[in-house]
Amino acid sequence: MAEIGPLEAAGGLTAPRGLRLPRLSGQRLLVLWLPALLVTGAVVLPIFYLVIRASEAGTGTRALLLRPQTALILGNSIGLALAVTLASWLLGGGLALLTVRTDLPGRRLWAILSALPLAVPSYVGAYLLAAALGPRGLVQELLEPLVGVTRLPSIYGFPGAFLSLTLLSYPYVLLPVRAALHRMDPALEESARSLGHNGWGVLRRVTLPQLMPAMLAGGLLVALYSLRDFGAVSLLRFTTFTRAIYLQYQSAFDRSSAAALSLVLVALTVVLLALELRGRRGGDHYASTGAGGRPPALIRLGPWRWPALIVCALLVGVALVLPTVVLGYWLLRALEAGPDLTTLLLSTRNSLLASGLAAAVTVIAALPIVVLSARYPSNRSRWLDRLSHIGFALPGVVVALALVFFGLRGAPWLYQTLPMLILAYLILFLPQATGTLRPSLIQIPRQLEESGRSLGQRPLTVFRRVTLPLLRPGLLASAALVFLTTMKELQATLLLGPLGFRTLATEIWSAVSEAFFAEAAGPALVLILTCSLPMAYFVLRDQP
Amino acid sequence: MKPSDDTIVRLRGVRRDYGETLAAVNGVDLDVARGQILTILGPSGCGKTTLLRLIAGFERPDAGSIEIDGRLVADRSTFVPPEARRVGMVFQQHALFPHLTVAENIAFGLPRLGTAERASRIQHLLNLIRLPKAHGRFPHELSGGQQQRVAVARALAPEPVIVLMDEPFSNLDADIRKKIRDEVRFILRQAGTTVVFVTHDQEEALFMGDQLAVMKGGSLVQLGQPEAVFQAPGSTFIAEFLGQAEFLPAAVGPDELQTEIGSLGQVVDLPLGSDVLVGFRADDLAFEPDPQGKAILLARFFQGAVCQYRIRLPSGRIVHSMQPHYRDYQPGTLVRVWFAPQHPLPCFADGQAVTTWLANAENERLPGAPARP
Repeated sequence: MAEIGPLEAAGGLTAPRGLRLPRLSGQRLLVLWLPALLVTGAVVLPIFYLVIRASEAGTGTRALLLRPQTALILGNSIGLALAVTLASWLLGGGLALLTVRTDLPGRRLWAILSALPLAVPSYVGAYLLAAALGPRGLVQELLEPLVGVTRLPSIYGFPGAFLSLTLLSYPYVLLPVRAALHRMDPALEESARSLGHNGWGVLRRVTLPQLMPAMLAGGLLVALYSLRDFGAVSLLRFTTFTRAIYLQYQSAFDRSSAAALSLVLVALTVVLLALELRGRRGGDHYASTGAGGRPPALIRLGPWRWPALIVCALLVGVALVLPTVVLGYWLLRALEAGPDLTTLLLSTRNSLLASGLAAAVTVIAALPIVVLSARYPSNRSRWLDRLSHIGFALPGVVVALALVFFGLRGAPWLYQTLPMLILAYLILFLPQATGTLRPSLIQIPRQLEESGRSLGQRPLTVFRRVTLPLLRPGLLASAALVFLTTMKELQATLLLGPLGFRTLATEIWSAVSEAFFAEAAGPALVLILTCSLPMAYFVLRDQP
Repeated sequence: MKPSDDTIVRLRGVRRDYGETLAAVNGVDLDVARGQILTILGPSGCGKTTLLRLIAGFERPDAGSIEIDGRLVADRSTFVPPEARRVGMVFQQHALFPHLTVAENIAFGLPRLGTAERASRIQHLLNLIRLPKAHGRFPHELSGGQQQRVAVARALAPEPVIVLMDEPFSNLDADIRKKIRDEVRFILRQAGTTVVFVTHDQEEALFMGDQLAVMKGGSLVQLGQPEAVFQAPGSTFIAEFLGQAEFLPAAVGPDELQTEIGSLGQVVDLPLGSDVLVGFRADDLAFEPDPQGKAILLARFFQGAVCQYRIRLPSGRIVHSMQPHYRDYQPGTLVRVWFAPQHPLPCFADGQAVTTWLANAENERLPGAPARP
């Protein structure tokens, strides 16, 4: 009874409760609602854009959508998403089982190494792949003098996109499945054994069914990742929605056709998100409490441990070692050529500036929404929370197009300025900020705030003296997350960045587009050091 | 309404609804006198915590009025926020600010005073809770009982007119609970504070309070001194809740009550032949082995100093009897059972207490149900 305050219990029971809460202290809630509504208003802009576009284009849009080229793009996008998801299931699921449930030698090391690619931006991954296997790439340069190979099978198109996206996104399956395996109550498998099933039977009838929710959730994340990805598919020249939209906008300034394609893309991501949400709810039924931390018995691999080791080594070799070697090689080449330190410093400064601003703005914008939805639950505040997650369904290119649209009509003085870019980051990454802040606010017992008030302090004083100091770790984590994600962002930065505003991401992109692999090495190294490694720490910190 | 000098909290017709039909608190009238410790006892979900939160100002009543120290703090048109009520609150989980030291926690609610005055006030409270050197320690460095005492000191620091405590001991281990309870009661007595104390533990309720209020389904069902409530529970619900778990049906006779284990020399204020329930405890029942007895011992529960026997009566009804540990009988023994109370036993008709007295001592009356206090 003490865990759930009566206010929350009441909010769960009846709708009108929310309407009565402001009576409690009107001024304070206005202080929260005003900024919260402002932020939510900005966040729903892209949706308005899509609706306006869809309604004004009419028959034109229909004709655009019925072109055979659209079917090709749709096929490419869905095919790539499916292939990457299937491959990730195999890699991620298999590695999870191997590293959690078997006596694979060095399994803790493999567990950490195999999760690392998660933190690498897709265009950096694609760059390293192209720089290794592409024409004028490292492998060819090594092979040519030895065996006279002048042409490798082309890495561009589907194979490259598939390979790079799979290697970067399989951790999305690996991590939840690992967590599910750790959570699983070993007594379940033991019961199955005592009911007469052998090892394989238990795996098939008890273990795998229990992993299904985690597999599904992870798979949907992978599918979303590859649908929304822009960097890898563009650099490896495989035309999915994001690339098509960008090309159409950039080359022809053909906005209505870009908008039509955006509509289809958003529809796809919304379907996937809805599936993910349903899957997550279903997953609750499987939540098992575990047996007080008793680890399950490990499967003995016996002679199978050698092939298992080879698979792990191969994967880590392709996903981590090879890219590192490639990066090192091109770095050396860049050093030989005399590195352009001024540009590197400038783009690093720009990246840090934009990301720092985005982190500060986004966290401050998230705060009132989080406080309202966590401390004053009502139908209205729940809607606020839901709306703030819109950015999760929107690919960067759609947010960028929407802001260009409104910027040119409503606020031309904002077009191609830093504030506009920051606004795009806010829309895209608000869900990350609220998602990190909300749990840390909920962890602070309400009774601490109530104690403060009955000790004679006003609500804002209590917020400053009690809530804020306790929320500080959450605020920092949330700002760091937004900062790191913004550092990696490419698409909105390309479309909305002020003229001549070069960041690490755009530097890499433009260099690799022209196959100047050496020029991309410096920015890529800085990016990996400043954001990928901290990001990996973030993701792995919460892993069992 | 002119506030009488010694009423600190006055509730009139206080109601708080959850949803359309549920009332968490349903028309409660209550007066708490200055310096008194009032315990509110009830099962979980009876509305006792909500009542406390209404007094504290964390919730607003849907009807009725609340006065604290002669000042109207809540009614249809008035609402004084918690920070302006001068009410101290002690929570179940102690709710100490984890980022502040003990001294900073206690100082949190202190008005702006001079440094010296502030320090001496903190020292005074630390002495009171017998942690005179704990200033710089953080809550997580303290034991559960110490945290509890600091929470009490923090609530007392701004000199509130009343301290509200929401099941403050239920998070403590059973073995230290009694000790802490004892200490906290002593601290509160020394400070001379008025206290409203909420609990679902009947033993705690009987121990802590000068007055005991029993709550059920959002209403106060009985209010009185703990001894009085214990001896004369107003209903079978209260009797059961206070651990008086045994009942036997009886028929009202001219000078006695007829039960299946014999007559009980008690008169009831009801027509001859009426049916009542007699409420008793295991220590009110005696038995001895008797081959002609119609009751049988079913089981024996050794509890150290005493031993409880489970007995099946001829009607099939199960009762319990408490005996000293040195009297040892085996299950299966046939026995004769009778009432051996040292005091009048409460009687109930339709679940409500009825007035009753010993046949030979008319002045020792047990009152009938005070339907509502």
